[in-house]
Amino acid sequence: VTATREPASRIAAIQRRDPAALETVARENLLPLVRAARAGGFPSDDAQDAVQETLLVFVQKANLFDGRASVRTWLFGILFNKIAERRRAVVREGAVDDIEAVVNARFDADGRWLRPPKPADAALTRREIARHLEHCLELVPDRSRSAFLLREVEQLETAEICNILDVSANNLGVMLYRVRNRLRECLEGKGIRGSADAAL
Amino acid sequence: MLRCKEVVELVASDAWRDPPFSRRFAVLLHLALCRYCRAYALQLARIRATARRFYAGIALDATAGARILTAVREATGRPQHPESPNIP
Repeated sequence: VTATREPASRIAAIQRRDPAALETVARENLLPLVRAARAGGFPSDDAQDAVQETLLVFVQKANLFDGRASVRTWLFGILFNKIAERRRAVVREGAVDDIEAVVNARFDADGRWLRPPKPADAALTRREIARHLEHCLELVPDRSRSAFLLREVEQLETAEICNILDVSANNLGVMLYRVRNRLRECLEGKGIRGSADAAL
Repeated sequence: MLRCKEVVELVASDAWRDPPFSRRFAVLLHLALCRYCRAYALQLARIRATARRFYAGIALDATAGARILTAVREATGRPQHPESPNIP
């Protein structure tokens, strides 16, 4: 967490709502916020609106920024409140498959692989894999996708993600377990495997 | 030795990074010895790498970016063109 904390001078500039500092924060966080909004389930245009609203809330409340978390974590917090509002308004989350059962069925009673991960299909290009992953990402619940983005792409610490998504560390572990297995099962179903000895 | 199912749970939930160190070591040892669990962990790493590329490719068109930043600038009360003040 300390690694992402802001220097004291920047915290002070944000707190006194220095226009140049606020604009720099907005500029630096534009794309991460758009990505997070998309991961949270906003379609492209709505994502832009959500990001603008988030930044306007930030400008309005900048004097309340305490610098305990990084400014990006604070912005993500504002954005995910908007995402939660939208989820309450839209209420979808259709049929969600029981990923625990799917994973459990791969093991015997002693916890050994019954159906191990399949070996690689060398014919698939990186671009095809990316396209398949995009499709698989659409199939996972918005909240899981958000947790996945914050951990795997933004590489935030557990405490920060828990703070942003308002979940316990245990809950986050379960969410990550589910989303990674959902994505893995989905990609394996499309022939994307990665061999036992494949280099990264 | 940890069972494969336990290793998968620890790896997929990130719990393997947490203390105790003995468990972390047990997971790494298991991965060194079990090709199926190693394949599983490598697949998760590939998914991570592919997701990073995918999200890095999400762009914002220049118009939308400029619109958002203009709105932010107006909200901060900063003049629109500080370098070229509108003086005749």
